[in-house]
Amino acid sequence: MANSYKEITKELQEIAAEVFAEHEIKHLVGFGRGEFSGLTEPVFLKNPEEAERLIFQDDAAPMLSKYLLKYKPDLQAVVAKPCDSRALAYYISEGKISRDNLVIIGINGCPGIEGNTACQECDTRNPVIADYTVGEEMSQQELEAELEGVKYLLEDMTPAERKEHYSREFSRCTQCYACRDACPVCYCDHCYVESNQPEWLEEGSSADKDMIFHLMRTMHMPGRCVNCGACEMACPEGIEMRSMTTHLYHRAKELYNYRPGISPEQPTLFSDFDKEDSEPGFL
Amino acid sequence: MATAQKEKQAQQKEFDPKIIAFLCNWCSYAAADLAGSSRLQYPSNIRTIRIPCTGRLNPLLVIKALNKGADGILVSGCHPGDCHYIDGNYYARRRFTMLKDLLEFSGVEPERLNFTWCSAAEGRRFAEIVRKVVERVESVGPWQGFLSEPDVVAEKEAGEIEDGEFL
Amino acid sequence: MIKKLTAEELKALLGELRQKFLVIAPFRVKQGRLTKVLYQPVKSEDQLSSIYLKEQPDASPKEYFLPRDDRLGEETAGADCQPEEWSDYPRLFLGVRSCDIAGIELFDDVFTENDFVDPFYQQRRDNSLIIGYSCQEPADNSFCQEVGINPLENENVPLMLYDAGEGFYLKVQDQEVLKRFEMLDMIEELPEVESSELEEIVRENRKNFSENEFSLERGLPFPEKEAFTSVDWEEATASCLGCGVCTFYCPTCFCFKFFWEEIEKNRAWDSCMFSLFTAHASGHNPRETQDQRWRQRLLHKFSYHPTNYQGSPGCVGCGRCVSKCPVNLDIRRVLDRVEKTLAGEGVKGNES
Repeated sequence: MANSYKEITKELQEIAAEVFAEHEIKHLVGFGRGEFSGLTEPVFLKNPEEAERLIFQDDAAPMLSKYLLKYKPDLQAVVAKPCDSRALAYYISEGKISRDNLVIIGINGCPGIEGNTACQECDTRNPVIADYTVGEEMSQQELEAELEGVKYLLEDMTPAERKEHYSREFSRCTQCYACRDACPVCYCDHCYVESNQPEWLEEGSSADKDMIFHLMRTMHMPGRCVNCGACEMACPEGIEMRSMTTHLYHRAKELYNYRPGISPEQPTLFSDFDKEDSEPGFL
Repeated sequence: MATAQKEKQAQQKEFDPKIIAFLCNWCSYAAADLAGSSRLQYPSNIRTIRIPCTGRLNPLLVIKALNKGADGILVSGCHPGDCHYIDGNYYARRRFTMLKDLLEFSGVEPERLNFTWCSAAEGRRFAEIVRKVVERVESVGPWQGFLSEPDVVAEKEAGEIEDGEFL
Repeated sequence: MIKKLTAEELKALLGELRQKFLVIAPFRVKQGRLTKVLYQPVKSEDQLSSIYLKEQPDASPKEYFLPRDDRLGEETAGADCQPEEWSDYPRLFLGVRSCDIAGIELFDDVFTENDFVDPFYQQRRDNSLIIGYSCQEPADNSFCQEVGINPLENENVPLMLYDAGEGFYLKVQDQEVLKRFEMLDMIEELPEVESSELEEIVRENRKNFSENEFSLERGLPFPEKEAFTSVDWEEATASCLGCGVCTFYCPTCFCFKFFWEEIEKNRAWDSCMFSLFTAHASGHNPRETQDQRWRQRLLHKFSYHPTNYQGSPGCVGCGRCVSKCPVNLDIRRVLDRVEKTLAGEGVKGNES
């Protein structure tokens, strides 16, 4: 059973105090309530007295793992949803951040985020790495029962229908690249979007250019995307773009039995190969 | 024969596909050379780009080539196990599988995306591949871009206005 | 002059105005998983009843004055480069709220200032007639009154629309403009009422705008140097992702960039929240980190702009940047932090 937000919040506050007592951390990254807006926002707690500011709500959509890279030489604590924990495991497997610099408070039996379609097809409901956990673990049987019959986005459409779907969706893109900015595994110092030598993306906004942006972004994603849905949640235009990355997520699982960030020791999809890899559709 | 069919045939004859071929320096590029020096005939639709290894080909270049108006893509490297750099083509294989999958998922016809292996000694095979690729691309017609017909989109572009008695 | 009209009469009036104008009004628009309120041209008579005035639109009408992608003409045209013809057609904006009107006024200041007149903007502006709309209750996360904007009334538009529950009041504030657009007769036909009726409605609605939790104590502009150096910007804005959605939805953000397509010159929106905004060709970037960009955005609105434009703030307090932010970073919280730091530093507030 998924845990309730209330229970998780209560346990988080207790454990946060513990974390501050046991570790010399720079800060604890978690969710808090906005002082004036009342909306859930990422907070960076500096001392144990602030522990009661921690909350977990159905609008806690941002991926906190993203912030850790900014302060990576320091010891940091983080409240990690299961998808966050996978992103962290992926960072570690790529050598982006050291496990020794992390204190992870994992959320067991994550109840999901309101409006995030990725949560409905989530296959990781318990954190893959954690030093502390809150809530009760969700059993494998339960997870499988919940996933029974779940179809991933646009699976049933024909390619032509999908083409029309994307043409329509991307015509609204305003090129804010919030999907990239919110993505926990988009962390390049210099993104291809900002590169002008070579100029991967031309200036100007047209649906055509936006489609190229999304195709290129998606092409960076196989073997990285942990299917958290943060891209879509961040989009101010409500563009449905997750189906692209999700498709590759499932294909990598089918073809190479590969799921990104499932363990910190796992080599990444594209830095590894099997001599017997299949060649679907090759001439 | 129906006129529509005739017209279609005429169109296909007129259609002269532009195919960008990314060829590995150590095998397929040499195979193209061999095909040439052996005086083997193959269609002149391919524009060759020599690359050091298929493992060095950025998948974004394939997207970019289609974006710039190529009707089809051919990527050819050394047979698995024969890579000049030992395992470059093994990495490339995974990458291209994913790329092909993504592009096909989002509506690009599979016939436009061709990946294959061809060693330096296989001049005859290279000529065959090119013939086959041109045939495949011809079968799906000219490339119209990653987007559906503009008029399909324009209608719904700004989103649907919700009807209601608000005013 | 105050006119009273029913919803049917308003629709009839708009129908008539459609003969003269391209009427642009807020609609509820379904976009993917979101339903937004957006300004869109009225395409048919039937659409008039779908006009949705009840909520603050998700985006201000700024893209009708400074388009997201503005084709400025061919470079070879040189100084003779003219705005495109379509902008000759008069446009009527219905239901623009005080905050967005203030945003357009700010654009006027910037784009038509002294000798530096942007002909493209000027033409679009001259061909636009705005019918303002009086808010009935505060929008989410808004703080307009804190930056000196009256959400209920606005003197700077020729016509102001008030929702009276049953029917509407239309207040004529500038007859000259109406004459210029040859629509004064249409308005004069409507039955006139006493101003006390309208005042009563405004007084009633004013009650919904009670004390805000957030208040801006300090007058504008913020002291530039002290705010620049003494505030811990990194701490205050740590959660920013740098997507720039706040600036795209901001009614007052006007930064743009140029680019060329072949020989055609284009202007598109840009944002100070992007790393490329200040990047030099050499590779050096004067604003290297996101908190420096945030500092720029906030101080532009609350220090530099008021300094350059007689104390008028560069923020209209519409609250869209908060509602749209993917991580809900609240500008009020950052402002609060700035004010507290400045108070602690003992910098004197500018009395305005």
